Amino acid sequence: MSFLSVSRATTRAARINVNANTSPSLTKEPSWEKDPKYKTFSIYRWDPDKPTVKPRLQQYKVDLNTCGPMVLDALIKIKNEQDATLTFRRSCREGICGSCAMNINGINTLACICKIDQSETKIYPLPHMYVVKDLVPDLTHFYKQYKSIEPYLKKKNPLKEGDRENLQSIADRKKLDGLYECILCACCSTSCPSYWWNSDEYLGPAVLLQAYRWMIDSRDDYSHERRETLQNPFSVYRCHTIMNCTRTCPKGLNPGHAIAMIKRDMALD
Amino acid sequence: MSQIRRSGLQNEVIKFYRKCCRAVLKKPIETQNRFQQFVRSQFRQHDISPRDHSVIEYMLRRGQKQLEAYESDSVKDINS
Repeated sequence: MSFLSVSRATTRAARINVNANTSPSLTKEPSWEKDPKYKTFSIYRWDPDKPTVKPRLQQYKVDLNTCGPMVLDALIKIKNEQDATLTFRRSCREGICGSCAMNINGINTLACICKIDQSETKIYPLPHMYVVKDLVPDLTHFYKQYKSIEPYLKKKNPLKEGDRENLQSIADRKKLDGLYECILCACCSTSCPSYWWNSDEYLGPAVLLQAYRWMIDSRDDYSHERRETLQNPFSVYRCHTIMNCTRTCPKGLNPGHAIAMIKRDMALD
Repeated sequence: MSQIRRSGLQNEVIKFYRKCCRAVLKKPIETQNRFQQFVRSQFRQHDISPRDHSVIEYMLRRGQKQLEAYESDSVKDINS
């Protein structure tokens, strides 16, 4: 009897030892190291402190295995590890602030929601904009145009005593869907060839989208006056329905449609 | 005396310099000297070839922005 139990114990111990050798995950750490997967980014560089040096494309190699999925992650990684002088705007990293708008592989998008392509990537600032430095465009004229359409609620009669809210029906509020989500990233305006050639007079799709948003707001009393200020050959009518704006909008809005609605409302006025 | 033929860009730079000097004359008398020195240094410090049109245009734009900043009446003094 005792002979039997001893032999069973030894065989059990032998079995345990055999199991330990064949499944290493129970005892050793799994290896996370993968071969580095390099990708080259060609990024537009220009330094305003050396204005005589012409703008150039600089190549950076990034290991995609240690980098986040979005182009902004790659840019931040390059700035942290390789070249701290690389300059770009960024804030929310989730596609809601509109700071990181730039031209990636020919398309104007937000860098924080643009997934890194496996092939060669070229990063330029927004097209036909004056450049402050590297990938930072000068948007002061764009903001001045936005200010010129008076993007705030204007009422003809002041609210009566006791009336604290501007009421709006659900149907009227639905009219604003697809208009209020604009983050003013300037991707659409800088993709419009008409805006490239006439940016001093033509307002551009982003600003016109917002102008329409205030025009059809049922709480606003100055819709007719807003249309009157646009009655000239340049503010709206430089739009030739090229529709680059709708194609490039990173939030999926439709500025081309809004401009068509403005033209219709102005014709019916 | 034959007139010096100046290109459009050269005329723009000269007109802009005169505009800056006129803005300086509106400043308080004690600080006009410092503003004038600032304007002169901004125009003279660069080593740009006169054929480099894009760089000259960039300098003009930069100068316009600086002028917009310091020509308002609230700017009384300049230190550089």
